[in-house]
Amino acid sequence: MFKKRLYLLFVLWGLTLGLQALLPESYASIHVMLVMLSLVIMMFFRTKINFLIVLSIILVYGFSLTFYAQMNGIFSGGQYVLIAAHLLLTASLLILWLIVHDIKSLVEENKSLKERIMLLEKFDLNTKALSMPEFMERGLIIETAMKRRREQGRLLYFRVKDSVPVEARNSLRHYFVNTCLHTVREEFDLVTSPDQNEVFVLLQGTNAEGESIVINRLTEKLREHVNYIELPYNIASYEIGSLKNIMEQFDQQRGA
Amino acid sequence: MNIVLLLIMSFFWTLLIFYSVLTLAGVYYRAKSQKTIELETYSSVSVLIPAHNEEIVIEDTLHAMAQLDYPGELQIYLLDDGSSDRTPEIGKSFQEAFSRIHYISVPPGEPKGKSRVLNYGLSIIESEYFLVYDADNQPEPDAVKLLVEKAETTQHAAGAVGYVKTRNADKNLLTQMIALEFQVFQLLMQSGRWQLLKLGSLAGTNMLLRKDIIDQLGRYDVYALAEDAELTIRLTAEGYLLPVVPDSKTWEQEPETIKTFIKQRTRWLIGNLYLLEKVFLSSKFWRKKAFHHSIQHLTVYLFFAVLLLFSHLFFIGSLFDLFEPTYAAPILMLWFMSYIVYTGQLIGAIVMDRTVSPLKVTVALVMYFTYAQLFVILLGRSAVIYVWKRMVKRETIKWDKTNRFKNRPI
Repeated sequence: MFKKRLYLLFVLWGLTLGLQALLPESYASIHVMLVMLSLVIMMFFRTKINFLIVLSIILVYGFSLTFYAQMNGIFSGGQYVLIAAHLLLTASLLILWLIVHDIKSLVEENKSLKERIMLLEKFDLNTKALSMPEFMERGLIIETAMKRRREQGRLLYFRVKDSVPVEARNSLRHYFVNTCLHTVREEFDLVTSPDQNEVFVLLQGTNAEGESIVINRLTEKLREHVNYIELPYNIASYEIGSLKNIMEQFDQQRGA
Repeated sequence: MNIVLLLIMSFFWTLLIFYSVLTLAGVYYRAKSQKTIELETYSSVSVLIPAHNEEIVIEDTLHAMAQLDYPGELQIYLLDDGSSDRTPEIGKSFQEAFSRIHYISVPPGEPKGKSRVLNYGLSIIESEYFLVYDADNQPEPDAVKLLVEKAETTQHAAGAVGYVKTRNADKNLLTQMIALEFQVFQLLMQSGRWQLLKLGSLAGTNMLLRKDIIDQLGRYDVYALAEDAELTIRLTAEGYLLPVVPDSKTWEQEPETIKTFIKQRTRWLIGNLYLLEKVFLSSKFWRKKAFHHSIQHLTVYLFFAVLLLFSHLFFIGSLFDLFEPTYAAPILMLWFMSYIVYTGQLIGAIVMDRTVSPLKVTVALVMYFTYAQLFVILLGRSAVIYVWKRMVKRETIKWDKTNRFKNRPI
């Protein structure tokens, strides 16, 4: 339906542009210039502002033609040519505005669908770790449950060291996230990696002692295929009191 | 003759250019994002609903009032002006169920009409603001909050004016056209005037006003049939502003039959003729920015109407070979531009409301030749009634209530 409408609009637009050829040459050239100029301008603005631009052109052009008729004493049949010229330009501009509106709506829809998919996606397709929204959602539920059970929980934050070459970071991230997923308890602890430099691991029902066991196990496993003697990540750990606050602090640091 | 022609031409050029600029300013005001400012505290507001035999619509109206979401103190008064139908019964039921809804029976009095009822309402409330809704209105839950936010954050504001949308627009061609007219004249032109001249007009409904200011001005003129327009000029003459809030919306019914439409519009036009008389007789009406309102009144209800009458006489005369027209101006182009400006306003309003559809655009394209021409007939009818009743017979012209229709969903 949408495709058909767009095709129809293109055909109509072509038709109105083609009909300009029937007008005296000077009108046709002015119209083509105005339509092309509008097309370029419309690329940069929202639909409503674009309508304002189109309406302004239609009105200013109409008044200019009326003024021209007044000054040149066109008081009889000559006015029909001016009216036809104005109607053709108006039709071309309005159809162009509709085409740009439809294409922009499509782009906007595509963008919002992508955002929605990101929100709904539970796993990162590349690393198989949880997506950030999913990590937060599950993390907050776990936090509430731990509070009720009066248990401790730990959040581990890994940030890649500056010494690691930029080219190797993405591969290292994949390997490290994979190692994390195999090291922590499946369906119990959570892993996410919002970008190629950071990895978060949430350990539920774990104290400081349990946390160092996890880190040691991770370091050992990583050594199997990685040349670094020490873990190529800086580690920070937090006791979970308010996961939301901790994550907001990270967001602020990233923003700064 | 040349000077007369030049004056007429200048008048039409000025009108066309002025309304074109106003349209563009209105589109701009509506297209730019409206900032809402949350207040720390919200002033007290009383909603006044004048009602006379409104059993068909009042339940839906009070239902909408019960859903209003306002952070400050809000009281709702149904002002019953001697209804003989089920209006009191329905009003009392809502009073029983909701602590903030009050049924008030207005004592009988003369002259009949909305202004007297509103003045009674003003005498019993103590809030800082009051808000008027017609008895068939269904405001959106945030309508009051948005109006108060705008009024409190605009310097010298006497209140704020919201948007009136048509509930039964899809009923028939007439309601489609009325809805479009409202989109243009209730909002787009209002927005344009506010953007360009910081001028707003009260719409009769969905309008918030400071009670102390209206008390100072002597409240409503009980003889005014277009009480909103009359109060607008008095407020503007005192230097007060009436900001426009497009996002504060209420939904109301519009006439579904030509008969009801003629009755309603005749009352409005008679009200405007009364105002025209006041414009001539009172120097107050030319003070400060009220000058703009008065000029607009004169141009629309006097100059434009008279010139239109002449134009029709010339047209009919030339059809019967009574005149031999000689053209000294591009009349056809001027007429064409009138059509373009009028239709541009209508389509602009549809675009800004995001309600573009092939049907609406078609309606907009034919409105100039149909609906707009009704204005001339109705103005003529109203002028005859006005002159006969007020000037010859010296009677008080009575308030003519608009008929309502049952079950019109939003």
